[in-house]
Amino acid sequence: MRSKVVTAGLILAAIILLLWTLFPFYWTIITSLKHRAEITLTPPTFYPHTFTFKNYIEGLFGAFPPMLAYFRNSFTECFGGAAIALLIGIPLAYAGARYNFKGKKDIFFTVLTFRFLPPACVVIPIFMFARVFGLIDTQFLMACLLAAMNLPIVAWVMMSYFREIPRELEESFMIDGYSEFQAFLKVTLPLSRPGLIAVTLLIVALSYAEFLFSSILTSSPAAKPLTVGISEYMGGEWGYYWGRIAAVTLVGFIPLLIIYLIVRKHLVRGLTFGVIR
Amino acid sequence: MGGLKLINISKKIGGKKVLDNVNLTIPEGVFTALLGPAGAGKTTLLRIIAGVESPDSGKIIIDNKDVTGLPPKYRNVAMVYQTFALYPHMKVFDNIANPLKAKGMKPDEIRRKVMDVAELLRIPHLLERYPRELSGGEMQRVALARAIVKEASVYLLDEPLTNLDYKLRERMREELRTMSRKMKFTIIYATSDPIDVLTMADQVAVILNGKILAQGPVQEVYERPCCVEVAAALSFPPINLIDAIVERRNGTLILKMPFAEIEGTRWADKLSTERKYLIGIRPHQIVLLKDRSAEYDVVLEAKLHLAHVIGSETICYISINGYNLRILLPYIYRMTREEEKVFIGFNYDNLLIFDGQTHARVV
Repeated sequence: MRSKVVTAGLILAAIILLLWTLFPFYWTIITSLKHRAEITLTPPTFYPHTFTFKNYIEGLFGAFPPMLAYFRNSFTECFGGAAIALLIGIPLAYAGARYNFKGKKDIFFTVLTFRFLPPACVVIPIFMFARVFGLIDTQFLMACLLAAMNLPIVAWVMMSYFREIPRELEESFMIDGYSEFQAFLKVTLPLSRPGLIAVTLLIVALSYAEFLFSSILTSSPAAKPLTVGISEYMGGEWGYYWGRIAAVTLVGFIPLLIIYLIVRKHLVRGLTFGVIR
Repeated sequence: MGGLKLINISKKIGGKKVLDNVNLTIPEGVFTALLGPAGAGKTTLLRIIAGVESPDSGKIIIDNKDVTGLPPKYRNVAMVYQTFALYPHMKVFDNIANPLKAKGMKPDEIRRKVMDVAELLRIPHLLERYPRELSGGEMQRVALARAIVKEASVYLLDEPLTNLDYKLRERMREELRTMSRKMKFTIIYATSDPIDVLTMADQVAVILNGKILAQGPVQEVYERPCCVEVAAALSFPPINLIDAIVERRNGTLILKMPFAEIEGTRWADKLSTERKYLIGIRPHQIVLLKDRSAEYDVVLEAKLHLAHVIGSETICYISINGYNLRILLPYIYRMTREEEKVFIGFNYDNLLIFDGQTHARVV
């Protein structure tokens, strides 16, 4: 039995940790609800004395910067990138899990190195390439880059997932009278659903938070995502709009929260590499 | 005449020869057991026949058609795995219906056929369940149903009874036997259990280290095994194997075993004093005697150490001058003391004599 002192200590530690984690979140919320004048008060107020939704309305629907367009870009680029990563990564993972072929190790190591490289190292060469092909400031370029960054995650997570699925199930399906591709579609993929959902969520979330590449490779409402867009409220001619930054950040967080709540069940099962039994 | 024919099948996996020039003929409607220990190449052979693995060389002929290079879906075979391989995300009905859907059958026809097979295997009440809601025996039946419904040319069964408990195994043996006789299925049944072979199969192929050592009707292979390995594989409890040499004394041939000498003139033309031999005698062919009865060709005094009663039979462990033998008695025998003095008897006709080096049977 644990002593009461230890239990009390653990609870206290948990409370401190919780405050530590949640305080910035709380601060963002109250900032988004304060008038501009109150935000910069010294000493700061710990709850909004003035209460307003103006930050939300102006922050989201103001003519400039066009936040809704940035939202749209973020979604298109994240889901487009995820789709490309899954489209390439899943067959790659399946081949890695089921077949031995020459250069298999090299291919997988190369894919993994996409993730090793510090993004700052490659962003300038990519910029120069993209300019040659006229791809600067396009959603297509951003989707492709996000896909490249996330391909290793898809390939490695899904490979371990496919390995967990007994080969016999696919073989049995083939003996029943189907092709290997049909067996993959109708047996392997449905059985890997928890893994697929988890990995998709993970890469969408990572892409959604991407900043460096977007800040250099996008410049207009045609392709600029939310992360970069929000920063337009910082500095510039009109100074810092902390209230709007907080409001847009919170709204930007909602999609992630929804996805997370929907797939929470799968996330836990997926990331623990749940075995099918 | 349909059936299955394997011609010179060889296969290496990771540099190791798993199948070595396998030739096997299985006539239509014959239940063939493929008997061998774990790692003998049984599963690989079945996978090659099914088409989920390709041989390095050789030909596979099903219903007089060379199917060697064809994918599984063009072979019309059905396979039951040791692990049953039921699709966990499909209900039992869809599991069984799967091969029929692949053939593009109409839904009401599929339903009718699935129901027929379910009736046959007494599982109609399971059709709406998922595999995870089934017991081992039920999964087994579903796996069998999925195979049977296909009306395949060849059925491949890979140790399907291994994962079942004893009672269920007994019952499934009986049912499989009855069903295969009635429906005239062509079956290859891989197993490491001689009981499976002796109770169910029409013919047997013994496989060891990727080679088929013997093939033929079960009774024939059982009574006249070609070599020690076949005799050992097809014996339960395990056959007694005794080292022996031959000596010639005053014109009579003596077979010298570690614990006894027996007269061997009757085998004079087959045995040589130059060679060593292994004598095989099956546990059930040795009898336990109260006294030196003259009914048997050979009677020896022995010590009884242990008597395991298995239902209505008894396996006895005895020793003669420190040499251990197994005996199977067809009745219940209980020991009265820790070590009993007994007599054992056997007949010359029941001895199998193998060459000590080549392991081939000489008598």
